[in-house]
Amino acid sequence: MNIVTFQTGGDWDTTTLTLNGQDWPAEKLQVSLQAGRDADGEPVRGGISAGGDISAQVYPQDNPGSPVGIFPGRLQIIFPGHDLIIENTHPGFAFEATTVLYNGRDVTDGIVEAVVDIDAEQNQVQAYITIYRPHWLGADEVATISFI
Amino acid sequence: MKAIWVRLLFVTSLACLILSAPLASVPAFARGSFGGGHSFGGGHSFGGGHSFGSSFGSRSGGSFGRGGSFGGGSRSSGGSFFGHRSFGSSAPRSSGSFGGYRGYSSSSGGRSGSSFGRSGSFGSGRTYTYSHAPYTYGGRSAPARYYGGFSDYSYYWNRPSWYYYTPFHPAFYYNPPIYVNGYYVPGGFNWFHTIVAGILFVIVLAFFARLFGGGGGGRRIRYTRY
Repeated sequence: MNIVTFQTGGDWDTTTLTLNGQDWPAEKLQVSLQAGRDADGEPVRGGISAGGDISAQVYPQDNPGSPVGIFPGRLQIIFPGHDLIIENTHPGFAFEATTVLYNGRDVTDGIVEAVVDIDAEQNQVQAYITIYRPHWLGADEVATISFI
Repeated sequence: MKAIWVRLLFVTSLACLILSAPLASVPAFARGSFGGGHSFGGGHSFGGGHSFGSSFGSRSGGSFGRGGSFGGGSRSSGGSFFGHRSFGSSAPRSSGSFGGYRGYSSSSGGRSGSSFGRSGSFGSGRTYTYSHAPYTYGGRSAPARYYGGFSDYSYYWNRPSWYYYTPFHPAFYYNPPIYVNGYYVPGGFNWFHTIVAGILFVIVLAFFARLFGGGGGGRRIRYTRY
């Protein structure tokens, strides 16, 4: 099982990517998780159980033309103040087997979107998650949390 | 968000208003202000009728002394300058016009003028009717004063059914009766239960509002960014 950890302190000098504890030089890391939407594309409660798709790829420095998939495995994204873990250990990479934890809290049933786009070549960093938060009183909330 | 709070506030206020309406029929001392009843004794100072009672205090015929007794009993209209109700609760007054000794029980001794004994209507204040059958609560039997209206639901608590403990029965909103000077009076309005019922009402309302699509406006979502 792949255990990939991306960690950054806020600049490139403190940014590392490891695979099973070993440093993994890469050019790009792209993670996209889409879930928790109805047929019209509107966010709904349910998260992963509402269906969706996920992709997570690393473009190694030695062979950037051949991206390597992370899943099945465990991906941890660490930004200052943010800790996102996406895990799917299903051998067939079934989407419903995905679990998502944000800052230690299980948001599997509320996740709508998770995007991590790290591009060292283009000097581009983007990371955020969107969580559906139902409320008893008042409107439900769709919260987008930017990591940077 | 603001709209639903306004709706909830309106509905809750309306529910409280409806539920508290019976309070108007609750006697003051039944709401726990027993001492307040004595303070009404100040009514004596107002009573031009005070002298009335004293002048006929000897009460030979009895009816004069009662002042407002011409009403024939249950509801006195005359001689009742006082809303005072509980003043005479201690000693049997012969000239009850100011005593507020309105509710003579038929079982009270020493009274010959039984025509007044059935009602507490003397005075302009609240009226009540004695129960001839002793009311039993907490192992003690005594006559009970019934004031009419919703406050009489207080007497339901001597043998409560399970549904008295639910907000759907009026007895839920009244305390058990109180024993005062040899008789029972309604226990007064139960604000705590009313508040509990109000909270339950809001929760149920919110539940159904969610169930049927956010209060009629369809599912509402607000987008936030952190």
